Amino acid sequence: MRSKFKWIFTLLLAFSMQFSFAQEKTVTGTITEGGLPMPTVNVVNKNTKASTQSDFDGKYSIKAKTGDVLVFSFVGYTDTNVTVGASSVINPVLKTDAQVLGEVVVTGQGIKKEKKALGYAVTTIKAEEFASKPSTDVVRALTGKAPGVNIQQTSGLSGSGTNIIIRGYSSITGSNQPLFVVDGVPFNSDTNSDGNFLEGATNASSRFLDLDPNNIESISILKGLSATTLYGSAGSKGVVLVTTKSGNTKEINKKMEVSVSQSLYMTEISDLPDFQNSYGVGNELEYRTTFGNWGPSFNTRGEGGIGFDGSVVHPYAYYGAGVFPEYVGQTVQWQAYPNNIKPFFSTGTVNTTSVNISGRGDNTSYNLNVGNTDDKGFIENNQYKRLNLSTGGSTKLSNGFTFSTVMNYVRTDKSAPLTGYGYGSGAVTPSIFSTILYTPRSFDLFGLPYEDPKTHESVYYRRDITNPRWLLKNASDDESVRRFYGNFSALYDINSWSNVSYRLALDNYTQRKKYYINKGGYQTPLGYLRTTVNENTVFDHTFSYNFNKELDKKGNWALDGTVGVNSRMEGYNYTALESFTQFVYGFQEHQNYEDHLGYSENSNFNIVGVYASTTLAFRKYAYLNLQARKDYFSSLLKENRSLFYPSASLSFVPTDAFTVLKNNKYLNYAKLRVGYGSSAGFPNPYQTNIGLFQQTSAFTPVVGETVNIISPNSQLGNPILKPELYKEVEFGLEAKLFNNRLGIDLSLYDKRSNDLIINADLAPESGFSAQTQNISEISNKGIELGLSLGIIKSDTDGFQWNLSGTFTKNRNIVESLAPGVEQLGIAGFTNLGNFAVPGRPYGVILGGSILRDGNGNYVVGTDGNYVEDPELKEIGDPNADWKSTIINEISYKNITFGFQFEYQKGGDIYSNTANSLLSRGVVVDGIDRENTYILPGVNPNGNINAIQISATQYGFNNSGFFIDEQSVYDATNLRLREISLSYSLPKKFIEKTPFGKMSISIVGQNLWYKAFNFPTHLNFDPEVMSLGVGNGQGFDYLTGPTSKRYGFNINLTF
Amino acid sequence: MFLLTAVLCLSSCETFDLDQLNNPSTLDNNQSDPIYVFNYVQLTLPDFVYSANTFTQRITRQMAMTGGNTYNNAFAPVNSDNNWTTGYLMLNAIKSMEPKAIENNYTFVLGASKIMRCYILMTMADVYGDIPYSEALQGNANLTPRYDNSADVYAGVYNELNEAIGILADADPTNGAPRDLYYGNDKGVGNAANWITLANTLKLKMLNNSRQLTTLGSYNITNEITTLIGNNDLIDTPAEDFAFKYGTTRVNPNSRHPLYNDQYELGGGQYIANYFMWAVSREKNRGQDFDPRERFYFFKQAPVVGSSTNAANLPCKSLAKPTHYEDSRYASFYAPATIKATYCTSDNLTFTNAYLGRDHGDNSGIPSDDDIRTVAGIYPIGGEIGSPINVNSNTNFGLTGELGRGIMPMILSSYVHFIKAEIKLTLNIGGVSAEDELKAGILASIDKTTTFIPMPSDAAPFLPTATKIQAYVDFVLGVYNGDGNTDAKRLELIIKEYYIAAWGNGIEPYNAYRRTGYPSNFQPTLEENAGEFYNTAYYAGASVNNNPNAPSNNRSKKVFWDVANLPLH
Repeated sequence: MRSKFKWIFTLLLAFSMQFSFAQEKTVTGTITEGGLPMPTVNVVNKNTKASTQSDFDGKYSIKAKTGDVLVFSFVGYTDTNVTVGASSVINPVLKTDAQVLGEVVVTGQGIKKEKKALGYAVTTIKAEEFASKPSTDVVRALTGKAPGVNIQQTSGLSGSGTNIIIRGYSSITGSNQPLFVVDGVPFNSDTNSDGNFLEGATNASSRFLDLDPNNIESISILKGLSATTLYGSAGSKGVVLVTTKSGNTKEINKKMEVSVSQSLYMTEISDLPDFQNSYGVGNELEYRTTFGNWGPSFNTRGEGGIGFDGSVVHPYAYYGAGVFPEYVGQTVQWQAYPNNIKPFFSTGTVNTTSVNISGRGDNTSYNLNVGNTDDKGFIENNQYKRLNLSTGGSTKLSNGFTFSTVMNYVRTDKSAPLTGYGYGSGAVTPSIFSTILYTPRSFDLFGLPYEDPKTHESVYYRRDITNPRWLLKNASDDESVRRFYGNFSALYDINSWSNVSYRLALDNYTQRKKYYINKGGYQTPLGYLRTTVNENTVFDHTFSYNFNKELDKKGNWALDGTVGVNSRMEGYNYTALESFTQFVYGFQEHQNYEDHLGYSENSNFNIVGVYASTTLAFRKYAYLNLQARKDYFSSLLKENRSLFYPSASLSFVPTDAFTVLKNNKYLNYAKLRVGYGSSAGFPNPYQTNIGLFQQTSAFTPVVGETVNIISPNSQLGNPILKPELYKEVEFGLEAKLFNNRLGIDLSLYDKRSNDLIINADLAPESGFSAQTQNISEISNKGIELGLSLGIIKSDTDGFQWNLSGTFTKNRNIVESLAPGVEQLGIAGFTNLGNFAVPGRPYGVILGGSILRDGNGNYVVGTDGNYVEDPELKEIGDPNADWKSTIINEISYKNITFGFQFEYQKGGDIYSNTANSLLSRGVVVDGIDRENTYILPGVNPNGNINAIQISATQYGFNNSGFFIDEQSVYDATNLRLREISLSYSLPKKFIEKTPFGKMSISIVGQNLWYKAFNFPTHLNFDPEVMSLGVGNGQGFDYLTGPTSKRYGFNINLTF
Repeated sequence: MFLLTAVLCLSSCETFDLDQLNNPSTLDNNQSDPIYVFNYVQLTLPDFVYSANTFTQRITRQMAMTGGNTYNNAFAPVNSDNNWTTGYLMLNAIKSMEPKAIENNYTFVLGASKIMRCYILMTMADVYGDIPYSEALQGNANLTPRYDNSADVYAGVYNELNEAIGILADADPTNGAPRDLYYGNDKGVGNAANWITLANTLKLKMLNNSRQLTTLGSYNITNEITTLIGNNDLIDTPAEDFAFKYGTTRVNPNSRHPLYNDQYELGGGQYIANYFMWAVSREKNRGQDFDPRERFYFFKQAPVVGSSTNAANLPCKSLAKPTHYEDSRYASFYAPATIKATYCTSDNLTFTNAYLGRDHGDNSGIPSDDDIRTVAGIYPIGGEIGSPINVNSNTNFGLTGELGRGIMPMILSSYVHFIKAEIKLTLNIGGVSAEDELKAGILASIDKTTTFIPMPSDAAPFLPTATKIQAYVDFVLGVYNGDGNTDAKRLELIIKEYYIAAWGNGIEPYNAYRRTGYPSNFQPTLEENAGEFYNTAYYAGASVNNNPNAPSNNRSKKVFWDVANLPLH
């Protein structure tokens, strides 16, 4: 196998130069740890200062004279000193530094450091946490696992987008999504949606979905600005550092290993509401073809529009003999169809296969990974398929050069039903979930046709709803991505303590989307087809000089650091073609449509950054880190286009510093850290100069040619626009207590965003209606706590119970907006959406509310219903008070049982699922429909309301349908995020097989949840985001429920 | 190694380019062309009027006010955003093209654009009162312009109209080959004389609005009116009518009347006010089609009869009629004893000739009446005429009637006759009697309604005969000359006919109502206590929220010419 792949690297790394050195005596050997060879161990001749590193087989060679002392060092291990004797072979065995527990983490620009040297918080998540899991989205699999990181799915559909926010929203109208860095390369993780939320933006996938979780070795999340400074403005919202197996071949220390993993999971809608089966479609106990189910009871005979024989007119009779002659004059029985909705949802399968081959040659290591994912969702026509091909390798030449490269190719194809905004009486654009859940209890959805047998038009019990079954068959929102990303890097060791490196990184993808609906539906009766192509390119160059040197002979002082230049180009190219008026039903090509509209745009910007970072270490217990970066942005005027931002952090390990604390039984390890960081944020390109608006074919008169127009843009350029500045102070404490039984990792932070760039509304009398301005300020203060507790510890084979947990609390305040501006819409509608309001948390929900009198009583109108307040009021805060996760892992011998609970306290959500199900009267609601009700409140004269209203009015008018406030619920919830049982075969069973390791796991995700403050029978899971990935939160617009997944995976290594 | 370095440098150089300020996907500002900006202004003007209509037509009961049940909650500042923003963006477009237009001597474009600018400004002053004028449109130089007194705006606009007339006096409409979408011939070549006529007519309209004052800026109102009427260069033929003519294309581009888009595609669209349909079809108590315009104005998708209506599709049918609807103040102007204020349908639920709209301030939920609510007819939106069909049914999707080939009326010759009638009656200026102007106005309106586009064969049964027109005119003039009639009653009759003729334009009725208090029998809100009337519309939220110089919003602020202190409801 080895020779088979060797040529690839010979080809790729074909740059070599030979140097030769004179030598006196050469000491050689193999460095090992636990029987395994250790690559990249530093070997220093203390006497001559000569140094080298071990190769991939742990072999080294160094010049030395007898009597010289060789020091073998590697982070996380105790330094080993060996005096050179007569033999010229020394094979040292390194030991882990038990005291330090020196965890090594990847930090900014890929620099590896001992965790104890860091003055800021980094959360590292190992592959076990996200590989082979039911979720095929690596970020979604991390939900709840890192304190301070808020991950939320947009819906449970396969391939839907995922929102990730680190330490709160710090920009108002800009993106708050973190930077993804894969193997040192900025990785585009945008969610590219062609439409807005009205059209179902939540359906669009986030491009980190292109990552194969099975090829990822580890993920580090840099949360604070003191950690992300080196990444420049792109890292100002946090950095997710992904190290793939292909990109980390240096640490491979086996000749060759093949691992195979196969998993099969089922996916289902998480739950359906508890439907009532006593009352059918209608109003005021009268049978009508309304949306709502306030009609007669199913026992009614001879009144309310029900025949004496219990029959009603056939629901399709109104189509007449031209469409359904068989139904004309027919009746159907007045009855409930208890299972008329369930068949709409199905059980999908998620099938993932991953093969990984890795190994090393003499000076070369390599990795190959192939992953295939086929994820079918819980509804017909929802499928996500992904093929990942990845290869990486590195080779170290004897002349001091190391070359490495990683190449990835991803192919994804997704299809999903249309999921436009549903408002409870249908949808503005076609939407699969907008009406299905309130299908009348008396309608036999699966027993009746969904299309006109001749024209294929949708048929339903009323014309202004597209039959959901028709929509499922006749419309789709498809997406395909072809992506190549990778990097090439060269490193030259100048001497034992410094090197220069250059890295070229490329990330290029083309996303094609196709959105169509056949003719015959309600919203787009003539059919519609839109195809778009979005090509995205990132080119990134980094040149750096890195050093690491002990400053005095005793090794008390050490200095390491890096100085570099980074230039990044990001560009995209978008074209769209829309076609209207379908010719032949069922055929989706543009030439099958009568009218077309095209659009294209390009954008490009560059950011050039100069950066430096240095850490001064004293006796390995005190570390001072200083960093700074200056960025230049290509799309601001020269005088405003650069920003300098420094950061500093200090780490101190008292357990190493003070003798009294060493070898202490109770306090095994403690570290205090404090950091200050800053970063920049740049606007979208082209905000200083705004071009014209032009439109061809703006109007066609009855007589004469089509008219073209030009006008100034409504957006006004802002020549004084400058970058936004973020500043953060962070304090942290890490400790291991009670014989390492209890671990604590606590961070406190205070982050301020100044000169925030917002797309501000202008008073139109200025001649323009909007401008990008630097005017607002946001603060985020928070606590992140990670805990680990060994409840029961025993020897390796015995009973163990480990508990770990996270706690996150972030308090976010919009400190100021532009002078005089009282509110700024961020997402949603202008009269119901997320707003920035000075003094309030970011994204509070403003909407309609019930009018209160001077004493705070609800005001009831003369019709007996509540009066709506004409002013827009705050009706909810979507930000959770706090979130917490508890992960239990119980193991005995080869069996491990794990479960993860998550709790969210607070956080409001406006739910159209709730208001439509309640106001349509389809769920069990406890309302006595034969009774009348009096709303609590006062009439406009201040007297207690005494007007009786019917059950229909009570239920229909007071479920949030008319007054937004009544649709807002506290989303506090508890969920069983994951439960798993795994078994790895004991070594003795597989000794005679070719397998080195074999394990099997059964995993379930989201199998149980409880949203305490929602009406019980809704069974509603508030973990949805109908405004899509972005800055909107706390809205459920019937765009897709959540899912649950369960199944098993098998891992084999040989 | 050297080669490698060279290759890498080449590939990285482009990433060091730091001067990328201009969006490659938009036109640079220096690529602007006044000819095409002129197109933008001409096309956007009807949008401006339509957005002004969303308030003015609703407050004057042409369309139903459904946004709230009292004046307090019927409109909010955000409802003015569209109109306000459209207006100022158009003004900015006009301003932006002027230097290049002057440079190229595009005098026709300059003059015609200035008149449109004046129309926007006078409309905004009429609708909102004080508005930013002298400091507006300066971009970054002044993002928060101060508001000017509406009297100053009027005076400034009056001067600008005179300037426009001067510019157009020797304008060559072929220079630069602009398209004149209002007065152009078949090839789009413009007609400067018609624009001058329009400018004079707009001056007369402003003077009539201000007629209860003595001066407008430095001008004496009486003298100015006398001169304008004496010179007689006012809109008095259909060719001179100031109205935007829509096309018929459904998509790419959608060139149809916006109300057609709303009412003839899906879901029924906006409700017409029951009062307006009552005023046309019922108030005179002369039976269906007595007004020759009735079938052209309104289209029934289905006959609305007692047996086809129920609590589900006509909920007000089963609710009690508010008692204040019985008040004689709201009864018919012509037959107050027999025809009371209408309720629920245009014929007070008698189902003798029911048009289904909504009552003033009915903000209740929308019932399943998509296929029975009355939509606008062939005039002015290019809709349907003839036998009932379900125009917003799923299967018709906007392919019915005259395909949206309507007009957005701004100033028609009929309006000018009514204005002249009002001037004659109140100021006694002009050679023609108020009665003759009233008659001319009615005839011009009927003529416009029935001939504004080539009529389809479906219209043939409803095309008015001379006898029918005569009967209508005789009836109105009979009332006008009725025994013991006061000038006040006569003025109300003129305004009433003006109101009916103005169908499709809410701005003129809104001005007329505040100027005269007529029609005095406007249907009241369903809630008896509607709160204070809108003496002006709310300033746009877009301005109030972003311009500290914006005055506070209230409904008592008045336009400078609104001095009569009338009780409005």
